Amino acid sequence: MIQVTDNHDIVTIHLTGRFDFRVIKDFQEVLGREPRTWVVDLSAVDYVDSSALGMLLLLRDRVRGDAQRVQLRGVHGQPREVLVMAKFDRLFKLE
Amino acid sequence: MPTTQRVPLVFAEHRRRTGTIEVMRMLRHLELACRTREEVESIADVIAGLLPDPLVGRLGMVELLLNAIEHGNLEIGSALKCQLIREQRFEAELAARLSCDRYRARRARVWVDIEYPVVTIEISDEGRGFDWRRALASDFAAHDGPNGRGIALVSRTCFPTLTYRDPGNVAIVKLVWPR
Repeated sequence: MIQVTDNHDIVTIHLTGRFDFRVIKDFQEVLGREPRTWVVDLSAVDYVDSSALGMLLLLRDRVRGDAQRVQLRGVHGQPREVLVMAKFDRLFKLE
Repeated sequence: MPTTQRVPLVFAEHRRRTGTIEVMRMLRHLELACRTREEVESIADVIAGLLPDPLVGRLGMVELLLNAIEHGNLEIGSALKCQLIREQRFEAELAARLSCDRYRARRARVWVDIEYPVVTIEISDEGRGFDWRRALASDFAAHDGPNGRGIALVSRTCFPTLTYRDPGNVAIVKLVWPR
């Protein structure tokens, strides 16, 4: 499930449960916005798949690789293991 | 609780109460077939319950089965998938191919063979195969597209024994239950 908080400067994407291929469409729709900073809240996510990695890279493209403009919050458990394994800790700040 | 965890946990509870190990000693074969992504999740939930680590096993099964359907049966190559995702047309293309005459009857099949404590899983599709050796050797950081990480993810985090039978339309995984 995906919910969005938008206060113009910051868009926060709250994900719950699985961040996987089922979320691609909704996640991409959110990427149409134009904030200065993106926050992806993964504190309620217990499972990510390879599609989630792809979505995060699309977000990275959106900010032209500027890691300061993207924060991944609440990364824990399986999502953290997968993100670190995929070396995403070099591309994003994992909080 | 998310379905992802619920089903494996139901199996875990079943294991605790009835002793899946005993069932595993008697179970010999399991064969399932699927066509859609919804069916992929159902099959992955069932098989995950037979594996030593259900959550990890589920992820591996979903990734391999989605590959079998999307790339194998529906012949959506990696470059095309990348383009479709970027243009937000992937879901529509998937649905269109699933309903077209050329692909409609194609299935991904899962064959599970149990010789406790060894579980061998074969996932086959009706596609033409692919350069699986290159995919298995690929590095996560080698490319920055929105797709193409499934096999690396499976082989590094879920099923280290993952291999394929040429021409690449049969994935093979071998797992051993700890004694």
